Amino acid sequence: MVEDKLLMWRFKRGSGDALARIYEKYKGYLLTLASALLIDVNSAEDIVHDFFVSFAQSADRLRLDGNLRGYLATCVANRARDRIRARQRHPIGLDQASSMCSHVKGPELSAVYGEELDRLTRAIDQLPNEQWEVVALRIKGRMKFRQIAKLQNSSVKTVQSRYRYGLQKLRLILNSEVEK
Amino acid sequence: MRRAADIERLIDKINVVPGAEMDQRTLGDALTAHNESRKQQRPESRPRIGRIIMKSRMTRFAAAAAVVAAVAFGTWLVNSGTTEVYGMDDVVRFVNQAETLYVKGSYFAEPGLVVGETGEPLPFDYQYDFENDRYRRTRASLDLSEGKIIETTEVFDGEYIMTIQSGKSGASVSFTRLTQFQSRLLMLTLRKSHLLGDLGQGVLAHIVDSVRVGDEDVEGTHFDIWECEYRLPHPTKEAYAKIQSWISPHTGELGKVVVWDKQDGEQWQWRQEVEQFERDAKIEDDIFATDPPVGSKLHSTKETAQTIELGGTGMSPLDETQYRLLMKIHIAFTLGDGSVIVCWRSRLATESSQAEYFQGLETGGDLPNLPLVIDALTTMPEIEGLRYIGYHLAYTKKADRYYEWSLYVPDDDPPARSAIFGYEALQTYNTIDDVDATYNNNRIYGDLAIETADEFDAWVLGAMAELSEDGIVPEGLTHEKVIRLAKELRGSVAR
Repeated sequence: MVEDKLLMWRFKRGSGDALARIYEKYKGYLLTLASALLIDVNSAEDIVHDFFVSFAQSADRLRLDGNLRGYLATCVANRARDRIRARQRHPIGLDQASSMCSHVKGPELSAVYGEELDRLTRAIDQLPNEQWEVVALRIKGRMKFRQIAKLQNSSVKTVQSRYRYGLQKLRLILNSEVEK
Repeated sequence: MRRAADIERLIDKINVVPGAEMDQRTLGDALTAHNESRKQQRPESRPRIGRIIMKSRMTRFAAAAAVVAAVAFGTWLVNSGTTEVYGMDDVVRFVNQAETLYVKGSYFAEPGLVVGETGEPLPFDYQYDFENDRYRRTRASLDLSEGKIIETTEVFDGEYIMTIQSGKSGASVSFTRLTQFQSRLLMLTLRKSHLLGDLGQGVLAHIVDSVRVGDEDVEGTHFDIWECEYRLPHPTKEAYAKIQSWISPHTGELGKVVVWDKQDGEQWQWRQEVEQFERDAKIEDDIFATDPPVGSKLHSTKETAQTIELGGTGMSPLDETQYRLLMKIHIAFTLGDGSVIVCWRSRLATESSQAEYFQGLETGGDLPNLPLVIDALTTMPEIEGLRYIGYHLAYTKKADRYYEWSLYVPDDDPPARSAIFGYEALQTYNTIDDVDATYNNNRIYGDLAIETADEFDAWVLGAMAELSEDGIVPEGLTHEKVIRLAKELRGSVAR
């Protein structure tokens, strides 16, 4: 927390080193979050890239009073949402699912992750966008319901319901696939 | 059968690690964009409309009314239930009336003075209890000799100042004792000049002239942004400060203060930021306890604490003798009519007594013919042709020291005190002795403003009593008499 404050202070005053440090510290977190939201690593990389370029240009205008990680996650989530709205949702193909798996550490896990992730992505595709967004932000973004509510411009109760229903639906879909 | 927890664990397994190619592309493009945007920054370019319309009192009132109307309307729209709007005047008033204050922030030391590539912010944390004349101030600074950051804490309990300094070999502690007058004067000085993080004398006088330049919502709270610019005292350079203050128009609370400065036409540099400012919050008594930390090295104790002479050199009388000629300005006051009272002393190390200099002096007459005489004052920055001509007002004596209290009267219309940052003493040497070893500070920055008879009695006469045997002040000196005298003298010096 203290490190983040000092990084932001240095970044706002023109330190390229601070910008690089912020990127190194949060790149994995943001890329994972964006990938989870978009179910597409390539699009996630684009979003994270575009965000950091914009972030780098806005140093003098930034006013950050809360948590840096929360701020970064919110910005990336907003961009992911814009991307989802702009494109037509298509079920992702096996090649995209495997692109998500290929970055997972440990080659021995990718086979397992590949199958599971494949099923997961199909299940996610059947979820309303708002529900999956809450689930992804909660689990991968480590965001509080209050933060997600602010991002979605909804009440905390609504967000909690979306989370519960989202997990419920995923469970039903995945369990029915297993039974098949 | 999968449970919800299983689903959460599955989702949690998603973990994407950026490849080297993405790193290179993203970080490379971001750093390029960052460098480009820095080249294009014009921090001082902002609309000047607010400043232009604030030049005269009439337009200031009209503009303020317009701002108040606009903000009040906005306030009504958001249904706050009140149309009261607070501005910078109110903030200064609140600060002056506050019984306790907590100020926390950071400042940026000169880049050339830090170790490493870039400077880092140095924190400060100040707690003031004006009701009981107490404070606790902690400030980080750079120790140039050791090339590291040291922390100094000063705790004042109303009588003793305990100074704790961190160092290579642990904490060291020293004590200074203040008289009652010095204690009151210190708290007054702190309230006037140090509340926003040691911004120097007269900062509140400048900040009250701020104009509203924008607004910003921060975590759901709306703030107006107020800004002022003023010249800083610097012996050789043209230096300016700019202060931006975030003020809630609904509560008058100060959210944040940022200070910039620049020299000789260079770019504005961020210098300081107050991040937290709390008024009249409860401060626990033990914050102001002056018990030395366990294990600290004691340079002095309360029992051995020295009381420093009001406005003195800080040296012992013996140490002062190393200077063959010494001139010291102890304290100064600017009266409401622009005339200035200065207390000063001047002596040669070889003199055994100065009684002769002060015989036959008359109030409003010539100054004593001391080894070095302050004949007149000029303003800083200097106003062409303006001089404050010196006349004897009174003298006091304490132990073997004689203090001259002189009245300096402007020979033309004086500027407002807020328009200058001090005075320079113009001196005449009357000694034929070798003056190589001289102690002479001829600049006045910290003069107190005296507007009323009560203030004159409290501070001018109080200072005279402080520098006098048994606290006895010269007879017949009142605010009214001094103002009348100044008026008569002005009539004789006016150009």
